[in-house]
Amino acid sequence: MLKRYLTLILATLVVLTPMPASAQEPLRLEITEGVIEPLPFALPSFIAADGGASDVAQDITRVIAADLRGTGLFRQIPPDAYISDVTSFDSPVQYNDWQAINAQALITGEVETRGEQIVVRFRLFDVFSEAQLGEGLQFVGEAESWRRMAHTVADEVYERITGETGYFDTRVVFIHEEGPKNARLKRLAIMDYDGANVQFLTDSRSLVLAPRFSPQGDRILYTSYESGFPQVYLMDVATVSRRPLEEIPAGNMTFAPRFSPDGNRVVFSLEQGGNSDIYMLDLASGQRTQLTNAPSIETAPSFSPDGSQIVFESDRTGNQQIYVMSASGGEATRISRGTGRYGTPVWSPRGDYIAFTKQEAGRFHIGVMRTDGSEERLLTASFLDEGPTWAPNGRVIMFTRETAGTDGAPAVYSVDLTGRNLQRVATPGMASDPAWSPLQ
Amino acid sequence: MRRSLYASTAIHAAILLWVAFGESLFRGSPETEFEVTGVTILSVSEFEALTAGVEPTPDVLETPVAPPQAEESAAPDPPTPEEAPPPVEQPEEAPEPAPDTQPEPPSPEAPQAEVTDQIAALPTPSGAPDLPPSDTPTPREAPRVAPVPAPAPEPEMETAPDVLDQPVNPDTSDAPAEEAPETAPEEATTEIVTEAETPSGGPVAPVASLRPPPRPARPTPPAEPEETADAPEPEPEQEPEQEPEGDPLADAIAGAVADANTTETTQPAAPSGPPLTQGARDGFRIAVQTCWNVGALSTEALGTTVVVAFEMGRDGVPVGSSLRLLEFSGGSEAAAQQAYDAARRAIIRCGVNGYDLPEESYDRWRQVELVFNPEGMRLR
Repeated sequence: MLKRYLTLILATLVVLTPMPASAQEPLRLEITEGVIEPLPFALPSFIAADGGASDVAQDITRVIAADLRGTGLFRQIPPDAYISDVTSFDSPVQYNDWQAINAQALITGEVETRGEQIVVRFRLFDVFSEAQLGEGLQFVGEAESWRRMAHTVADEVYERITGETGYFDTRVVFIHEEGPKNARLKRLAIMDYDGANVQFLTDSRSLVLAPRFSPQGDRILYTSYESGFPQVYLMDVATVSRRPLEEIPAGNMTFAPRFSPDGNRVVFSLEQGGNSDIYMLDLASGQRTQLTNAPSIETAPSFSPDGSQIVFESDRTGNQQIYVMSASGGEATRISRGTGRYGTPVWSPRGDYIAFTKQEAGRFHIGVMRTDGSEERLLTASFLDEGPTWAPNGRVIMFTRETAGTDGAPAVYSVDLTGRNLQRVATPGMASDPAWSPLQ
Repeated sequence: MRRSLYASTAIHAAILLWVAFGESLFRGSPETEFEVTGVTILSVSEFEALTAGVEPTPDVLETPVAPPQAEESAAPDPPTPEEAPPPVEQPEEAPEPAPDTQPEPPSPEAPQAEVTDQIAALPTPSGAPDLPPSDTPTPREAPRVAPVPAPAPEPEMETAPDVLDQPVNPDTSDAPAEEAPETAPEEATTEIVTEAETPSGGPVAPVASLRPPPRPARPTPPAEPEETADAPEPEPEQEPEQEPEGDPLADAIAGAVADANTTETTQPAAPSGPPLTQGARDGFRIAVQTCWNVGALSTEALGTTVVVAFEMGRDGVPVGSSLRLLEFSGGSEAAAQQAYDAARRAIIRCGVNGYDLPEESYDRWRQVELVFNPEGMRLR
């Protein structure tokens, strides 16, 4: 018996003893350099399942392509270069044909009409992996909302490829400007993020400034001179009804409002006797709390995404800088360390960065820094750039750029967090003070 | 290598056995002690047994290891016969007793069977005249051992080809042995030098693919031996034949050892051609990175390093189905998936026509692991 045990153990040991010469090890290389270029995609016109869907299928295809191109992350391959012609939504993909034109992503879709509604279906393919990316999706909506449906498809494509949520099905509230520089008329307006469906929310009788969306996108805070003094107003987007955020004594001013992440509170600046501090107003109770108390100018407050902190600008040191404090007030910590003046800080929806305006050496910049002030990066530089606002995915920043001279005019621009893809946003005319809505 | 392996195996086994059973064996009871003494005695009995006849199978397997080393000397052969006799108790003492006994007991019978067979193959190619002179100086063992080592060098060269043939027909052990002699001399040189593989780029792959066959067909190894490494195999086989009664467990050990031997022998042969030059590596790296587009990656994915493992065909084209995310760091799983997708696209897209890699080194780049580290690309 013992012999058997011994032999068995010996056999086991022999088998398990590691061989000196190991099996062929894989070739291992590290790649640290890549390329940064738009990802080429093919988007054959969506197929019309019936005659009535022909036009809308074309329009939806066009909007999706524009959304993706506009990000700067994607490049559409001209349809003229397509080898394959997608004639059926369910027909198998001829990957070779798309690989031949170097299409890395392929989007196919179909539009069907059902009375007053339309049905939009799409699929996304990774051409070189010869596999579908995610499940095919189908959206049903009113025919008149086809643009939103197109944006939704683009959002899905964007998210599946980049890993970040899209921002196409969003709106932007901004200040529409008309007239000469010394007699400018300003109106509150709202539009789709791509400049479509512009609507004016106020007339041009009163000067309006700095609109801000609520976290739900259903309300807007803005500053108006309607009463003769700058005062914060709250507007319901659906009804376009408005009211002062709170009644304040004549002569005092409120401005620079912003919602808390839960939408239940508002922080803003209140100027009294020549001194401005930051206050918080509970919308339900109407209770106002003073968060700062300094002889300097404290303004432009912005909540962190978790609502625990507030970043704001102050000139308490004699120079405009950025500070962070608890949402309940208290001692603030300066986070801007560079030369020049910093203002209009806005916390990223993702919480990782704070965007700001910087003035230095006669030029303005839009920049970002970590929430502790580190890793400051300037994304733009011009005669006048200011007022950054984040896309809901925290990847893109929109801001106002104004040109110099008597003919100088403001316009809205957007730039990727990386500093690339700077481009002007389509607006019906001169525009400033954009504020991005959350995803609808 | 092999010697160290066997030595390591034996020592490990001895230690483990001691730990597992030493206490019970030497607990102090008369029986255990008796066994211990028996062990010592066994070595002596082995000598006697050798005179009577040889049986041990397992030990023989280990003995082969020695032969290769001592091919030039006389040592190798003796161990085989000596260890062979004590089949049961050898495991523990196997390593030590073997060397001691080897010199003393050059038993004629056991060795004769084994040695003669080997020599038989060797003589054919080279010649018998060498045997007498070399044996003369050495005492008793000389006559047996000397003949083996002397011819060994040549036969080894010859046997090399046999090994190559074996994989093809692993079952027929005898046939190859006979045929081998003629062809052996010519091919032997190429195999040893490895140049054989170089001329016809294809040979390399076959060698690797042939590895598996040899294992199941253990019996074939006896066919014989090419280099020192192969020497051990033949002996194990011969003994089993002589000792058909062999213990099944002992056979199992023999099989395991044979497997180990075959893997060892094949591994060195498997080497996959010349190593990749730095230029080839850089070329491969550059080819991939030109397609690694991080422009559409999320900021989180840009902070995620992924390791992608895949296999490539001989034509340098990545096997799509083999691509897999081996590991990642620095980001969430979702970010890693995005980073992996981008890496996968890069590998496939730039490899669609095959990466420019030396075919003769195919085994060195058949399996690839690429580390995609976007740290330097982050927020540029």
